[in-house]
Amino acid sequence: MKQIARRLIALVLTLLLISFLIFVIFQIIPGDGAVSRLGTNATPEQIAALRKELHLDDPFFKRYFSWLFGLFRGDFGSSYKYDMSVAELIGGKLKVTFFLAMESFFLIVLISLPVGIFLGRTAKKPIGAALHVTTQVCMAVPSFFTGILIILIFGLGLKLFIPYYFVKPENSFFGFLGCMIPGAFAIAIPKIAMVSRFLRTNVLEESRKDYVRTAYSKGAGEKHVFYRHILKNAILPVVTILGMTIAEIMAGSIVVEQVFGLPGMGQLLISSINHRDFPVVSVIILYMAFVVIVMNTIVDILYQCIDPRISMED
Amino acid sequence: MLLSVKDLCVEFRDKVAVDHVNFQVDENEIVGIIGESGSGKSVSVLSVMGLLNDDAKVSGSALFDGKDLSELKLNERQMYKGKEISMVFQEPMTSLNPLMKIGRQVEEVMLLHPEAFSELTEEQRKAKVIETLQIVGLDHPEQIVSMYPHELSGGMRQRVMIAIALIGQPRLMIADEPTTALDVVLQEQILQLLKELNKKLHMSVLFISHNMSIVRNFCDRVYVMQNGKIVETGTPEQIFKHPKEKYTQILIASIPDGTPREDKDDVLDEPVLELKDFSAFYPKKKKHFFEKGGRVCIVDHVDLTIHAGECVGLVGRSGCGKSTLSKGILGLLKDTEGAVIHHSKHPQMIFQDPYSSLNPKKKIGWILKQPLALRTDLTPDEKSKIVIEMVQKVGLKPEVLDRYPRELSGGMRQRISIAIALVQGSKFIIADEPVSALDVTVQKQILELFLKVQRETNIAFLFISHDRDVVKQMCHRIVYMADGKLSDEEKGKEILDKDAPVC
Amino acid sequence: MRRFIRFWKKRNAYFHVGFVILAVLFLCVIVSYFWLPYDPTAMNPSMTGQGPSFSHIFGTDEYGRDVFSRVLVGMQDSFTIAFGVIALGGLIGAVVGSLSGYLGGWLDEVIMRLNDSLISIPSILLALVMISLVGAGKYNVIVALGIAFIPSFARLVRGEVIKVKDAEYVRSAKLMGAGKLRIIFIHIFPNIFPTWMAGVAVGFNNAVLAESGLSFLGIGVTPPEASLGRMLAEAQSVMFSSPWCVVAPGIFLILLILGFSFVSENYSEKGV
Repeated sequence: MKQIARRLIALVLTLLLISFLIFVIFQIIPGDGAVSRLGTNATPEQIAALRKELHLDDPFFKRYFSWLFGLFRGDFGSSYKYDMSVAELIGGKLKVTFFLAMESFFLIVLISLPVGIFLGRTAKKPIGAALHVTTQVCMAVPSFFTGILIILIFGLGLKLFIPYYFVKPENSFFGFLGCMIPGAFAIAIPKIAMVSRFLRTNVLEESRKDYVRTAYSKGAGEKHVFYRHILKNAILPVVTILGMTIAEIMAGSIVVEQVFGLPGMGQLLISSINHRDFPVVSVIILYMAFVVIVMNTIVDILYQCIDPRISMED
Repeated sequence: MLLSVKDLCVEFRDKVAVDHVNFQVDENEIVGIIGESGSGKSVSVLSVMGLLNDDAKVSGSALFDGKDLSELKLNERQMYKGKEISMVFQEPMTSLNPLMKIGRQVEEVMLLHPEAFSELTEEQRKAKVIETLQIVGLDHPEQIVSMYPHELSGGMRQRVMIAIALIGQPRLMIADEPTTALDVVLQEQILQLLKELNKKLHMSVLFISHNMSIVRNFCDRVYVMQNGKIVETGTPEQIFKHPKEKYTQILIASIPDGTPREDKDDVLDEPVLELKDFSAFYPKKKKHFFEKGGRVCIVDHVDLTIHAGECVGLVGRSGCGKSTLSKGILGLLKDTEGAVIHHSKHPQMIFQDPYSSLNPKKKIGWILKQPLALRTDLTPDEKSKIVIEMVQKVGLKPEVLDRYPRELSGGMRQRISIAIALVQGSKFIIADEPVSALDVTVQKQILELFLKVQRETNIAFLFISHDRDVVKQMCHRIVYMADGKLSDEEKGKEILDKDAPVC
Repeated sequence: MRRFIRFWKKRNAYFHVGFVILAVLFLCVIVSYFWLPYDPTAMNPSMTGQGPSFSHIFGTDEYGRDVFSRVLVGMQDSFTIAFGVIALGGLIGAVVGSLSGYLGGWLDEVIMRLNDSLISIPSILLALVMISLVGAGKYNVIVALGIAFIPSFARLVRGEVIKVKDAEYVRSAKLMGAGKLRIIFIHIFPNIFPTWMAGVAVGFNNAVLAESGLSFLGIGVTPPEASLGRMLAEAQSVMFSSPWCVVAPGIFLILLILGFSFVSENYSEKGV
């Protein structure tokens, strides 16, 4: 319990630190928000009026905390580019990115574990070696190129799906999930390769350990030793790696949404960066960092619950 | 005859590890195999158990109860492992599966041998596990079955290993250095346990060790191995009192005999080190984020004076604060109280593990020149001259200066460590278990070097060791340590005495 | 030469393949600075959208530019950016990590808190943040990615320093009177170097990936610069009519990343 409490405190501190950094980066460094909104032709009076309206003349920490409490109340500020609140702008796009990420995470978990086990079991055979090299190639292909290849081969060539076809979740939830599957694969493939390689390495490392020899000395066969002893020890650290992939799934979704034309937060982020629409950019970045950090904390706590060595110690 | 190994050869790639070895174990007998590292003793028994990797080429036969194990099919052989022949390994800390409860790990043997245990119900199996844990001397076995290995100490884990090896009621137990990783008191307890089991359960024991005195007191018959061959065999009496072969004679002569050191004239009346009311602390682990860190006292009000030319032995069980005291003396700790007064410059330290005490990325010459690197009063030629002179003094050729530490043997590395202290002109050296990682024959040479260096240069030593005989032979004076305190002679002896009651 | 042969023999087959791939690509890049088959920016209206042929081995794009020449020029950018990113991130990360690991205390605590927060954000996202402030462009990408790479190098080096700093040879160096900086950089760092090099190989891999991603999104290098990622983004609109415009830069990009990942594999197989 103390471990968990400590993790939660660290989580809050990290989130505060990140929100502070993002506030400094997007609210302070870019300079005068009033000028950038009104353009350089505005009169000094107009600027001063807007500055007052936006509370830009308040002291630094007051601005930070009112910004932060605004976030808690759901007041994310308003876009410079569109005359809309950030919340409205992000609204439906959140769902797209969220489900895209979830889908790819499930693909990673479902595929990488069996593949990794197979790689570990066949490490010394030609098939294992060949598959091992294949996974390395998969890792080297950038997800946007995987996406392009998927569109070219499975969309255009084999006609398994219609490229750039998007179903709104309001119309059909399952259609919505289905049309994102190719994109989810584009994000997941390099991560599947990475996780299964990690599992393979663990299997090989664990099989060299002393307790494996003990198991053999009890008269256990190779299969028994693998499934009853090695596997659990080898899979446990994979939990951490899976947690780390969440960050990369987030990063991958930004790129893949562009390739597949999915109207998610990634697309909005890129267009906002191009328009220097800082309120939108800062909220999206904050949101993504938030998801990654919270998920990592959950994975950490989960890990502590599974591994008897940690949960017992403190 | 229970086990009879004939013409056993084991090859790894092109290296012969075991070379036409014959040995046998009778019913009810305790047989020892002694040999230095690399003599092939472990490989021999691992091949009998069928636990070598695929890259080992094995030939020869191993008759167990008249059946040749090497001719059995894989699954037939598995019926023997754990049931007829079982094994206890050297490293109790890593030999148990960290994610499996103790009870399961012991019970597994019965599940793997349904041919012998299929009539037992689950309750009966559980009861047998508890009974076996009791036999190996573990208290509260009902609680231990639901614990994980990390919750047990090294000695307890080794008992669990023995329980695993015992529960199948084997006729032969192979014990590969089962006590090497444990401290002296635990060592004695485990040996006694094995002996009892041998008597009570009529179980033969094949005992592998590099420790001569253990083998001598423990075994009925002894094989001596060197370079993959069996050199000599006989009763301990024959081997230790009247060794025939030259190698055995050297081996026996290298055992420290514990005759006290008598040349006390070399000790001068000038102190090199004084400890006055010295205490050392480690920070206590914080329980939660906002707690103020407390501290734990590791070394507790120690007074000690060491004179020039004196060798003081420091003896104590593991965890008694010996190492912390030595770090404290050298100023490597942050939180200390009391006074450490050095009357000499450049105290040095010689560490237990010769493999980690030299920087692996630097050549020996570079390492030896380090103490001189900051001195401006010497020309580079003079520096080289000093280094070469000291290397010769510790019995090495100047060619080693051009080598990397990994190219040297353990004994050579300890010689280099001594040379570092000499180059620096140290008058006081702390030697922390400097020979316990070395083979006996090398150990003897290094101890002789210590004595020679000390006579020639009048260096004072604080010699830390858990081996009573070594300490007696090396030191003018012995201090004992327990729970961070130095205790007097009498009480100290009690701590270390082999007949002392179990703590 | 003999040293190179010894070095070569100690490495595994992955390293050999990776090394050859990188050497060939690097040679291509060097040559491309002095000679190119065609002017990569010269448009030729009579030659638009041509498939691969002997005169244009990877065909031409929709403006009639030679795709092979453009790929070579694109690789120049990918290479220089990756080198710049590693030089910045790898060196600063190593210094920050070793100081923080060796000195410990509150400095370590502060640096690592910051590091942990930054490391949980994907480096491409960090780079996006910086680029959104300073704008796109080759040098901005180098700086943005370089800074984004500091935390992972710092963590790698810090971990290694902590592993080594209590080694007995470090202790005996202390007893000889060596100062802190001398211990870090002369006694400890040579022992960390192989791990750091492995990190650099992985870092190159990630830098090329990240840069191509940024450029693909149109916020990396800006025209007239043309990295491989940017070429892919431009070619995406014509990928149905002239797929070679996508495949050629894609293959070179993969080869480049694969080369670095094979080279780094040598280290991870050995468990460094």
